[in-house]
Amino acid sequence: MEINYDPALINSLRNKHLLLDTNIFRDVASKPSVFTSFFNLLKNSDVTLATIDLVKFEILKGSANNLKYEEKEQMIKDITEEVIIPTTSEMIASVYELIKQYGIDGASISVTDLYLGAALIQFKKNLFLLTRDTTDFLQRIFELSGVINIPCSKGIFTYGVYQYTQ
Amino acid sequence: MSLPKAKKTKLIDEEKFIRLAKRVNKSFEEEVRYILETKMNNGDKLRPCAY
Repeated sequence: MEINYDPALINSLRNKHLLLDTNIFRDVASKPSVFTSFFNLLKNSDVTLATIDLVKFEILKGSANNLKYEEKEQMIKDITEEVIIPTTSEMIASVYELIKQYGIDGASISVTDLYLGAALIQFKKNLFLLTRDTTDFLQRIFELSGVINIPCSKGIFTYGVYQYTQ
Repeated sequence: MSLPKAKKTKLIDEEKFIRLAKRVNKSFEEEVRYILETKMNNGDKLRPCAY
């Protein structure tokens, strides 16, 4: 199984931060060998892998015991090296702004996705988002900078790389 | 405000990480089973996905 992407995408991510959505961590757990080589390629290309606390909450909640909680925490740490984009008052203001911009399209968007979007707004060209949730990040608001495909036995997993450029 | 950076870039140790990820995946599967069983027992509507 191999990850298919445009090599130019890696160049555009160089020296930038790539924010990882909850679904990425879940997919990493089910296909670790595919993602490990891809993440190491990104790290070797000076891409900083990061996330936000809300994503961590979504991953950690439901852990049946302390060991399972710590294993999840370690997995996040191995990938992101503890780079967590802090939630600032500006980000909260951007969440309210995004809610207005989404209008009715935002009726089913998760709070975590709103915060991820707000982080993109705050850090603009220095921050990208990698997500499998390709319907909640509207292209009238966020720019789709690239697409990554992972063929697997049950079909093709497609991931979007988004940025806020307005 | 600037973006936080890792102190020193550390590559993922593939062998060790795969072992860890497999354990985490089992936890996720356990949680999905728990959610489905709880919802069925309560007669709730099932969502197609747990997240």
